[in-house]
Amino acid sequence: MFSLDWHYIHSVLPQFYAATLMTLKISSIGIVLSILLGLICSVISTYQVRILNKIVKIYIEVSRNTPLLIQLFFLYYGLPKIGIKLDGFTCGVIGLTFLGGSYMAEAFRAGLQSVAQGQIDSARSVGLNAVQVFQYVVFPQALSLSIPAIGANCLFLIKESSILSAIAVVELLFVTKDLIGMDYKTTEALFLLILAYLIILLPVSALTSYLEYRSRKVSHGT
Amino acid sequence: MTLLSIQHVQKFYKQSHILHGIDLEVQQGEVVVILGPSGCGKSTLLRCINGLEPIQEGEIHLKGIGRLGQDLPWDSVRQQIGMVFQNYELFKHMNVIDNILLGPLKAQKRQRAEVEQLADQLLQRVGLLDRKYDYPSNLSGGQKQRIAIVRALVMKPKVILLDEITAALDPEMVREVLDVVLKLAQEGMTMLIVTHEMGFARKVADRIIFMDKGRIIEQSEPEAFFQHPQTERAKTFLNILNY
Amino acid sequence: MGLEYLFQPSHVERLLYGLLQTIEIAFLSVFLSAIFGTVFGVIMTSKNMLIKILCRFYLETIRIVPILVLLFVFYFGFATWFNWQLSSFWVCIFVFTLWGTAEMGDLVRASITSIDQHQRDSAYAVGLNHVQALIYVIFPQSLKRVTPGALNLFTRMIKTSSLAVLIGMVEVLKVGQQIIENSLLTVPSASLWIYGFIFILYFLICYPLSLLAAHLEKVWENA
Repeated sequence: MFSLDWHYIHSVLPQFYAATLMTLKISSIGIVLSILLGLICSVISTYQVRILNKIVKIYIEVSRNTPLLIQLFFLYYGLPKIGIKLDGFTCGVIGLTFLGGSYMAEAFRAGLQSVAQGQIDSARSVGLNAVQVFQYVVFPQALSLSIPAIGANCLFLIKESSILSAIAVVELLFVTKDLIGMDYKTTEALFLLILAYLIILLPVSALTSYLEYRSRKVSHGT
Repeated sequence: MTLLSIQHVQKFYKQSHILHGIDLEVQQGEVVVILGPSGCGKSTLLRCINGLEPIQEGEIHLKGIGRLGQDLPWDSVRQQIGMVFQNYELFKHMNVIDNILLGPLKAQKRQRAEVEQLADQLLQRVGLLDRKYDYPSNLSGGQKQRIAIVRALVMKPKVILLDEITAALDPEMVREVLDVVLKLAQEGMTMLIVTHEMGFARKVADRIIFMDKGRIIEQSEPEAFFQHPQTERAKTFLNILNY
Repeated sequence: MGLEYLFQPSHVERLLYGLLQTIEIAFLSVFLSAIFGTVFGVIMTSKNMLIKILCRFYLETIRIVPILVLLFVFYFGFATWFNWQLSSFWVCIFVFTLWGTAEMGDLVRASITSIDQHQRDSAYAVGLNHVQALIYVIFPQSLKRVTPGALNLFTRMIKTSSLAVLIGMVEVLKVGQQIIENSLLTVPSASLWIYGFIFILYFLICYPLSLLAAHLEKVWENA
């Protein structure tokens, strides 16, 4: 049952390779945009910017309490009905960003609020204005405090990209389903699928752990 | 001449009345030590002087500037008034020299060469020039506090506020920090010091202010205060300390 | 207007029935996960090196592989390797329970080890043995710490069960798709409304649960 057809595996490697790149590509764009969105949201919410504050709060609750799949279906199948036709890739990026943004916002917010008040006081005491205090003291410290959560979110978003297969984005799961449907080499295809994800995610996981270790070393003095 | 003038300052926080009409004048070159039981408002008073805490009534004047917070925004005021905290609060993500340079370079917009030269001199004076590139996590409490003092001095302030700067230190390190402060006093730096170190207070102060429950109860010269306290409250306070 | 046609009682009924299937999966999975997870969690506190490594391996594998991928692996795998034609409902339960056991196990382990050593020492000091200490002293306290995490897991399972439609299960999304197909001529914009409606349905279920979890966490924080 578990002997693999290596010849077949070899023949489909190019497709898996391309799919891996697609997974990486769409995840990376999603991650970068999520980080930007999350950063903006967390600053708005920590500094309690009027009106925007409420919008951010609603956004985060909606994003965290609805499945990605529904959001994708809505974008991919629903929007064309009012004239907005977006291809799978774009819908995927929007979906990942919408979802990821709220998770990143939470990570940054926790980091921002963990910066000790004493650090802020002493920054103000040397004459720095509010923006400078944020730029030179609060943000750098918040960033290193947020890194574990951000790393975990990146892993999460890469995994969620598998759902994009449902709207015809030619990433890993899509290719796997396709090949199983055509060639019936289920075991080989699933083997490559898992392998591909391990290759992508294990390094990311290791990198996150390392960054967490490094940042803990620097910020752990009194 | 009067450098710092605090007039009828009232401070409330939620339902509490923390400072009840504080009036205080500090002369140039004077060292004023503020003593008092916990909760009397002495740290709060210090934090009001450099605007970390807002006041609800009254004014604070600095010679050559005017009303703090009104004639000059607090960011700029804090370039003239330095503060050193109980927990040193060095920026932990920066090394010593960056900690010291941040204020002068970014807030005061001075030239790096000039500031670094001054920083080196000050570090030399407190005996920590060889730690210039270390991170705070590699320093002892006493070393960090001395760096914190240098960080305040490099701004060339008119007044320095010292808020219980030895309270978080192990006894062996208290001396090295207080020696630095003593030298500053001898050089004519105007300082307001909140401390529990009675021996030190006696030695460094030009004037002792005794506070209780948000009011200034007594003020006098150090010897007069310690040997002949006038008020009952002060007597009790000093008695407790003569264990 | 087509919207009335769309939201006929029979349609809404079918959608809600579909949602019920979703919740059923989540509920059953959480229930099973709670049981297995607790056992797993206790096992994870073992000092045996081999056990710890095996547990870690299981935990990390579940964490690394995407749930949808696991669903597919077992959906196709069971059929190919064991000739089992499991319905997508049960494949979901299986995979979610695997997932839930790992997560609950980690939660349980964390809460057990976080119970103050003194509490455990006091339990031993009054003569309780390991198992008794576990049941009477550690578990009641752990329960409070685990519950918000468990609620959180439950909410996430509800959201993830939307993926069941991709392995053919007839749950709320599938029903939605069927209604949309039937309405292609009468209400062309059906997909917009139906998916929008399902979106709101999920929110209405998950949001209160999130609030509850947050509330409990705050209330029990000082336990």
